[in-house]
Amino acid sequence: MQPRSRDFKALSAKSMKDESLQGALRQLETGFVRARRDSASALPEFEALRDQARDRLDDVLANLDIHLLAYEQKVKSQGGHVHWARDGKELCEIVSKICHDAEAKKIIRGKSMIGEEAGLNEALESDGFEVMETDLGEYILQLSKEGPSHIIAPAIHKTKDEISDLFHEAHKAHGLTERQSETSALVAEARQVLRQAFLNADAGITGANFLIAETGSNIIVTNEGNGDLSCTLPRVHIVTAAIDKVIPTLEDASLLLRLLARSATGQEITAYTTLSTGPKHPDDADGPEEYHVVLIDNGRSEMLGNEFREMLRCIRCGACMNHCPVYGNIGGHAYGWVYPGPMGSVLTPLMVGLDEAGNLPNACTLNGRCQDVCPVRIPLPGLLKAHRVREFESRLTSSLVRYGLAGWAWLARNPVIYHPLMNVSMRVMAVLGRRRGAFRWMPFASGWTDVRDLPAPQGSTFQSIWRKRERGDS
Amino acid sequence: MYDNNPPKVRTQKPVVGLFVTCLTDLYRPSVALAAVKLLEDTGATVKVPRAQTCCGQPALNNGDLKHSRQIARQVIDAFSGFDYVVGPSGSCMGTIKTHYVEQFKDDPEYLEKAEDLAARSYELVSFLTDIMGVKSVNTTFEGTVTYHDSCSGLRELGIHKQPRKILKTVKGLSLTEMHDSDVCCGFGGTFCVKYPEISGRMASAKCANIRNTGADTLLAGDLGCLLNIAGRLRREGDQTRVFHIAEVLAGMADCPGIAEGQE
Amino acid sequence: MSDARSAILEQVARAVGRKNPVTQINENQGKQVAPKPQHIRPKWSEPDVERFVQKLKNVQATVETVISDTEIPAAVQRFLDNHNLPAKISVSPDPRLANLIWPDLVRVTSWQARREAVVGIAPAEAGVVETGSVLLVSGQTGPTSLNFLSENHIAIVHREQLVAHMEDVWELLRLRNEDLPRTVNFITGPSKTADIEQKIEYGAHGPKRFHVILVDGKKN
Repeated sequence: MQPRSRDFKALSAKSMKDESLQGALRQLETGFVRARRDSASALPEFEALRDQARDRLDDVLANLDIHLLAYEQKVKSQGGHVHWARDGKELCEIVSKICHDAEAKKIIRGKSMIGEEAGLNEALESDGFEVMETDLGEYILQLSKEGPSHIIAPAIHKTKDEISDLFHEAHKAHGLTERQSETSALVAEARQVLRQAFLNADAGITGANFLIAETGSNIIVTNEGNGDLSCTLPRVHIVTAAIDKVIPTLEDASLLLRLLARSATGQEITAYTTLSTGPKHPDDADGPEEYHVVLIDNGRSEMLGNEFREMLRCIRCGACMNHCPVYGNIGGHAYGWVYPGPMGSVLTPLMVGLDEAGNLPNACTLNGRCQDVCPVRIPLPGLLKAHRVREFESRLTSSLVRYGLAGWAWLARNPVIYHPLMNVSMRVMAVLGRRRGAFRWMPFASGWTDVRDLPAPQGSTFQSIWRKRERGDS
Repeated sequence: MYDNNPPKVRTQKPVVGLFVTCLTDLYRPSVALAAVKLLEDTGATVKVPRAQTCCGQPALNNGDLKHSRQIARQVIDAFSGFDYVVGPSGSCMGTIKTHYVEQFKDDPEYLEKAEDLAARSYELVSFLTDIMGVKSVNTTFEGTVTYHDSCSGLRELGIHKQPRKILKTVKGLSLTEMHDSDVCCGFGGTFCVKYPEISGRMASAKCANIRNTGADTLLAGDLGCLLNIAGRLRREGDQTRVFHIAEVLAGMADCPGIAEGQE
Repeated sequence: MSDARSAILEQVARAVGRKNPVTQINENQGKQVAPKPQHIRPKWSEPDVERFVQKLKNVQATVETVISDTEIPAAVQRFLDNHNLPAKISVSPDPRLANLIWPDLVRVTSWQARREAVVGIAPAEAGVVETGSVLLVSGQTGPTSLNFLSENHIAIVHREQLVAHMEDVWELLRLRNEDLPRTVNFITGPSKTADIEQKIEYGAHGPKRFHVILVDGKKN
């Protein structure tokens, strides 16, 4: 997916005018936010689990190479294959080769953010494979040729009406000519179409919520059951996962599972939690004949060694975006790439470059609500500030801001000049603004006055008042 | 992050350095005067170092660490001798309490000083209740108020119950909670001028929540949020009065509210 | 060894502060670095069976408790009747279900007829009380596809199979003294989606209904 984060301002302006998107975003508050709060408060151990998860993942990251090797060894010992990809391009090439070698033509996909990150669908399609998304939300987006706007609810921005039109058009080829308008009918129609895809597929590609070194397994959590069908029915099961998904033991999985669904949707556990380990055993009634895991780095090993290491704890629950007041106003597409919201604003600059995505870490009020709900306590506002430091130090910050800050800082460090100058300025402003109590417009302050009045100051500064009082007192 | 074990009062008559905050100094000295009154009412002696201007957030939050550190050093030096340092803002005091230390990882001398300052620094309302043990105030404010939780105070300093508890002791005042009182108003320092459209929408949502309470007055503990919200209320033609909580607690809300004209 | 592999491992080693990259380990090294941890496990006060049933009901699963295995066919019949389903079931080829005597009118089809499976029945390996989850594993007699292709999925859980936490399942799986089954499914309710306007619909791709027959032993 070609990043468009540079256009953040234009994209967010467009999103704010999109009434159907705004309606969907308003539901986040009553849906995900409330559900998370209820499920967290229903579990007395929740806060302690968050601490434990944070600490455990920090320990895991400190030995990430060992865990990756242990994982690789275990997968191989059970007849699975492990491939390594430095970036999205390598991942696509590897997956394409696996499919080619297995003579797989029809490919189904379970929802995976790594696939989005790598642009896997486009790559496979251009290599001549037939690819079908099976997560309902991702399927809708495949039909509308859009990227996800939320990592958990990818098609959250689409209205039922738009989906009706998409299905009506796309499903004619399957002999379904009636336009459905009820949610249940739409879901039933997608079920019917995708069921055939499941049964006919040669290869299934899923992501992984976790990779378990102890057993060589990957875990996926779903509510629809699409991922589970994708890794069971086709001859070939391919897992695409990032290197930071590896955890040592099954116990670590249960620890993180207790946090994941609660933080994401407010569920205690999703309908399906599935561990896949290697290819089918010789006598198994069903299951894939080949099992491949493609491990992708794409900047993560670098993050491990710099100020962004804590971001690698992320378990992709989406709570940060559900609670982000900025995301809540602009939705996911405005962020211009695969990952939106606070986690996306940390990751995107690291993956597509700070020059492309510099807006993202700045478009944040540092209100801290994301950090408050992050199940693994990632200091997201701090990481966004770390991006701002990088931006400033690599001179990507606009010269207006740089010179403005330098001038202001000089003044702030010279109280002898600062105090009288400010006193005079405020007194002038106070006189001018006295009648209305606020300004509708102020030169060089349109960023403020475009959307709100600028309150007028009271008059003399406190420092000058205090100085008088001290003189009078003494 | 949350200070669950605040130190005991070191002395019955502590010397408190008032961190005025730049916005209070410039825009609303009445808030600082109210803070002085509230502090003096507890028996504290209040000093106001002249060498203070700002806590440095504009530089810090824009990645300009050089200037941010310079200003931080200035604040650290200006407030070195006091028993406590108190300011009427969760945002500035949060910066002093949590973010100064982070900036001096490589400067042992100032790291120690920053840690020392952090341990002595408090936001005004939480200082009054948690450290000085103030349980009530002897003032009157006729009206229905609603209280906005400023993000830094709430999440960096754990200020939530304290202002509500003490507001309930103001005679004539009734407190009504707004929906999403803990959701950001869209100020965010330079965010509000860098992304005015998004900021404006966030402020607008806050205004709607305020209106829905039917309260006649909005209170908060941070002037940044208050200027933003008051500015947006005026722009929407809403006459809800806006004060800093210190003005009400000190009985000094008899002046025009924020963005209120004097025709 | 692929180039990408060594490049990634080198970078990781640098990042975690190793002088020399590690590219091979022996079997015990991984375990030494991460011994089995004891994480917090939630506690509850209600009786296990009560909780297990309630948790399932909370996620729109249905539960019927019977006393013994011989009552299973009748319970299945009741399920079919309740939902006006045709008397045609696919039964997992598990020996634990082989001795059940089905009423004459119920036609038992092989699980391989999976495309049209209306009702699929499988024996569970465990029930997790914490979350109301049912454990099913793949194997010679355990087709995973049955759990997902059936429109109605019935799982048989015995009371003595109930365990408190997922961690107890891990121990059960370790006791098998072999690699994990190819597929381990924790199933907690029917398939669902909220991808259209955040409204929950059941039966997205998997079963529209999930029914648990809990065999309670002697008492009821």
